[in-house]
Formats: sequence, C-alpha cells, structure tokens
Amino acid sequence: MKESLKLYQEIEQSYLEKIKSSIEKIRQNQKFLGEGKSGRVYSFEEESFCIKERINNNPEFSFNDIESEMEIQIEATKYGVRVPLPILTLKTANGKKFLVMERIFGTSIQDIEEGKADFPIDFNIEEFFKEVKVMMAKMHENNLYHRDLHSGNIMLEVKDGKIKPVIIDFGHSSYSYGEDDPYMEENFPRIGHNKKFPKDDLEIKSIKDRITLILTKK
Amino acid sequence: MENKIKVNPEIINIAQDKVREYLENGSKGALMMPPPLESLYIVINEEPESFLVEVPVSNELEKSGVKSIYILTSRDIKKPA
Repeated sequence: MKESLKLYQEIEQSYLEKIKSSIEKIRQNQKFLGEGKSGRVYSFEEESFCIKERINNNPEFSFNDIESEMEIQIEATKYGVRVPLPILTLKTANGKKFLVMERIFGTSIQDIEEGKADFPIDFNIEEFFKEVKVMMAKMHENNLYHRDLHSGNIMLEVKDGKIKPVIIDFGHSSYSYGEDDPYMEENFPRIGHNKKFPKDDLEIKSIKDRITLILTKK
Repeated sequence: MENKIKVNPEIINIAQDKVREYLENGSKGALMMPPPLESLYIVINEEPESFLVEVPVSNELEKSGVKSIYILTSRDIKKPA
C-alpha cells in the first residue's frame, strides 16, 4: 500500500512538471488557442491535445470544479454530444487547475462573427444549427444544461468533408431536475442575487440569426 | 493541499484496447492512440522519463507479458542523439 502511494505521488510530480513546463513554454511563445469565461486554453504546437487552465473571468457566477467539468464532458459524450474528449484533470498544490483534453482543429462561430475566420466551403447554416439543436435537446433530455452557449463555445469542425458542430466549455454547465430553474445561479444564495444564465435555446436562436445576417450580406 | 490527478477512464480503456490489438496483430512500429488523440504514443515495458498517463495493466495483458503501459506526448519521446 505504501509503495503504491509513493508511486502515485511520484507520478503526480511528473504530471505537474510536465504540464507546468509545457504551459510555460507556450506562454513564452505567446501561443494560446483562446480564452473564455472559465479558462485559458493552450495548445501544444500541432499536437492533438490541449490544456485548459481554469481562470475566472466571470466573477458574478460560480464555476464547476475542474473534475466536475471533465465528468460533464464525459457524460455529454455518452448522450451523443460532440465535445472535446477529456484526458485528465490536474489540481496543483498551489491551487492551479488544469483540464487536458482533445484539441479541436476548427474555428468558433465567434471567430467568424469577428471576421477572424471565414465560413468553411459548403457551410449549410440550416443543417449546422439543426445539429446544434439536436445536441442540446439530448443534453436537456438528460437534465444537463450548458448555460454558457455563446458563439465562442460552438466550434465548426471539418472532418471527412463534413462540417460538424463541437460544443466546448462546460464550466457553467449543470444538471437540473424537477421544477428547479436550470438557468438560476444556485451557488450564490445571497439576498438580492437573482442572476440567471442565458438559456441554451435562446442563445442558439440568437447566434443563428446573427450568422444568417452575415451570410445575407455576403 | 496536495497535487491531484484524475484520468478519464475511457482513455485507459482506449489505451488497453490498443495494446491488446497491437499484441494480437503483432504489428511493428509506433503504437499510437487512435483518433482523435493520434499524436499521443503508447509505450509498453519501458520506463519513460516523462509521460502524460500511466495506464494500469489488466490481468489479461499481464499474462501476455505486459509489465507497464504509458501514454506519452511527442515531447516525451527521446530524440536520437
């Protein structure tokens, strides 16, 4: 038992040093994939995985523990939702939290809105958003709500000639049962705090409307 | 507070399946994780200096002579001098 415990701790140190040094190297090169409300995502050059470092850019709302975020991504995959495949989480002794996961080689809807990327060839807005809606419906059927479905958290992935949506960043996601309001911020029960997360379905409609406008102007 | 790591069990299953397939087919060359994690490598019966995931060896694989399984990034692989 003692031997396995020792080995486990040694492994943890290897992870820590590996991830810390990799993040530092990428930071030095000022290369990172993006930053959202709940984290900063670093790439490892052309490798097929990335690291999300938990930060809080949205202090009015609470975030899932990094391990819970990984578990939600694992569950979402089981429901048929395309999300980055999580590999592991790391919590360091000095309080840093990381999620290592599959890197999505694609662009976000937000990048297209901001003119940083263009629509892929053969992009079909109806088909694309139909798939986003289906994925959200599968999550909701299983009582899971994304709660931060802005255009930066919907990515377009081109694979085998097909354009597919990928849902990312489950930092605000939550399960909700019965008559509870799934969009209520439940972790700040202080008086006068009645913050609500944006509704997934309304966000999809709003994003689709904006993208439609961009496409009609082209 | 101590450092804490949690690995997605699916990653462990994928790596074990890949090693099983590798042993059955007897294929040579790099043992890679399947898509979408194809830039990660699996090494068996070696003790790398650094790695991303240590994969537990199942009884079945142990009987086939597997003593250890590690998942490495390309940076963990020693480049020839």
